[in-house]
Amino acid sequence: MAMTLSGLTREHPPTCDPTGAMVTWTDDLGGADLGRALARARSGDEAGFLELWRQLQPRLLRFLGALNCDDPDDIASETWLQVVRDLPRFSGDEEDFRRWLFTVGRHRAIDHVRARQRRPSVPVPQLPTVADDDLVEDQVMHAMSARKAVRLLAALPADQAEAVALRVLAGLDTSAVAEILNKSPGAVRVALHRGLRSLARHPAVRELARSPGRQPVPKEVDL
Amino acid sequence: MTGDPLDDLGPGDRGLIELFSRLTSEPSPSELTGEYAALTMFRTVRTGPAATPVFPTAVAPAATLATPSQARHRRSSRGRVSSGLASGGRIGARLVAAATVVALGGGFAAAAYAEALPAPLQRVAHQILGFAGVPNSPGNSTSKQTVPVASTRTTPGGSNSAQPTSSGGASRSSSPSPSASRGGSVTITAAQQQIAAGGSVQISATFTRRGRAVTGVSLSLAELAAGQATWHVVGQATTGSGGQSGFTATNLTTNASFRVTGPGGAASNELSIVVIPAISLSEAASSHGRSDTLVVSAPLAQRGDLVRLEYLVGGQWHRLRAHRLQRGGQIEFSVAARKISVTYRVVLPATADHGQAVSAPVTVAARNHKGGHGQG
Repeated sequence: MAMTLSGLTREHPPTCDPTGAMVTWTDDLGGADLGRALARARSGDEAGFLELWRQLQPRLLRFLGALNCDDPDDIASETWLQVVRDLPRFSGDEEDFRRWLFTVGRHRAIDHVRARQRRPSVPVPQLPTVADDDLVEDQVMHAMSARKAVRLLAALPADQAEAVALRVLAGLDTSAVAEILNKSPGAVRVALHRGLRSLARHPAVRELARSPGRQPVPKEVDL
Repeated sequence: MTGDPLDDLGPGDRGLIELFSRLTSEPSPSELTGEYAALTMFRTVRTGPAATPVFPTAVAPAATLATPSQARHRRSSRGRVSSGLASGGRIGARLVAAATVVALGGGFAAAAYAEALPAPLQRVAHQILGFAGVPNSPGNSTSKQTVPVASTRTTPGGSNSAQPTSSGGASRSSSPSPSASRGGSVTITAAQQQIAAGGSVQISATFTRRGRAVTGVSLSLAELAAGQATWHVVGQATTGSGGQSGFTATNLTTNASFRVTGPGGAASNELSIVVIPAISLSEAASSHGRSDTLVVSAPLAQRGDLVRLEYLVGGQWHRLRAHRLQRGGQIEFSVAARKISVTYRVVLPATADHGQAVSAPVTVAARNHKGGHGQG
């Protein structure tokens, strides 16, 4: 089965694995709606911008997480600030916009790493914090899905993590990823191949293959 | 075969496909918490200083009949208070300067979010982006302070209006530090920090000059409702003995900040009021078969707000799933019918528009083997 990742709305034809269970992966980033939102945002429409932000901010945060950024929220804020500032000069479709957004995000992440190296900080003991129940709960729930997946990506060598993250999270094709990473498409394909092979061997991914979609449920009650 | 490893995934790559499904899964609420900050940044950068929150420094002609949050809820338009920038007040000028900095300086907003700016700049950033979560400088408590709880006074007057009253000089708890001017200073307190949606909040202001309470001074109450860019004067009052005036802002349906201005450019600190929408959970009478239907209603919440269904096990609530509210503030959850009774509730997490709301718990009785509800 071949899956096309270049479009924004991708629904892969369901296939069956050897056990007969259906295997599907649907990635809906908004499709044509995102293009319309982009056009509205470019004209200064706030609702259009919010639609763009809601669709792409989670992906941007996960991408930055896959790059092992210390503070993805901060870097994402700077990314959007630059994008909004330069939006009037942007021309292109929604795929071009994604390419631009993730390129800016990657550059801001690199800037942060360089800044941190220029200004080495003295580690201080962790300050006590008051836990926000909601946030903790979010994190716990999310740990079973996106967060854990992002951590798996982040554990790959940097070139492989970037290639897989841009390909999957930004929905960009190999040539666009190659352009962002300043590599040849062939080198990107090699990085992707190696990254996927490493991921497939990971015990957590093998566990996912055995029990897809399983969520933690307390044992006390049959839910 | 395309040569692209991701295009060539097949049935044997089920683990990777599951992994990618999780990578591209629906966003969690925590991933969307910066929405209002992003909107404020967009508004500030794209439209420039004119669209930044403008705080009126002069007294408006009359109190309006509806607060901005009411007006927003009714989706009606309002005119802007004209006295903001044109009046050349100190705060207005600072907002213009800060908005320009935001528009030009890439790291300003991010630094403001991170409380990384020098204290004066942080305060200015807070004035613009305070609603968006930009904190104030540590040494200044103009927002998110603990509002002293004052004795509640009943204010005469009709509903749907910010009714000014004169106070008889009742003793008050200590007030937040005011923004003083040469002409005097104003402090502001509220009886409550949180109110139920549609409810009222009583706000008390005190005007002092050189440390002494001044009577007979005209004060204006201004409101900045969540989602609004402009402050609106919603009430006026004259200080009574003790230099105090009281206001009642009624029928608040979204979070709002309030400030009180006095003569000579005196302005109080910002007072934030959180509005808690009502939310209810009920079991639909039409539940049948292998599932039960739970109906959520939160009419004053916003369409698209996330609602979380939770169930009770061993005295602790566990999240089951989440949906976004649809038109009219309603949504239905379908849950599998159980052989035991299960208690559910729904949680409406806080947004920029409102605080967190939790429904009363609802227990869905156990189903017997014929599909009907048993005794649980």
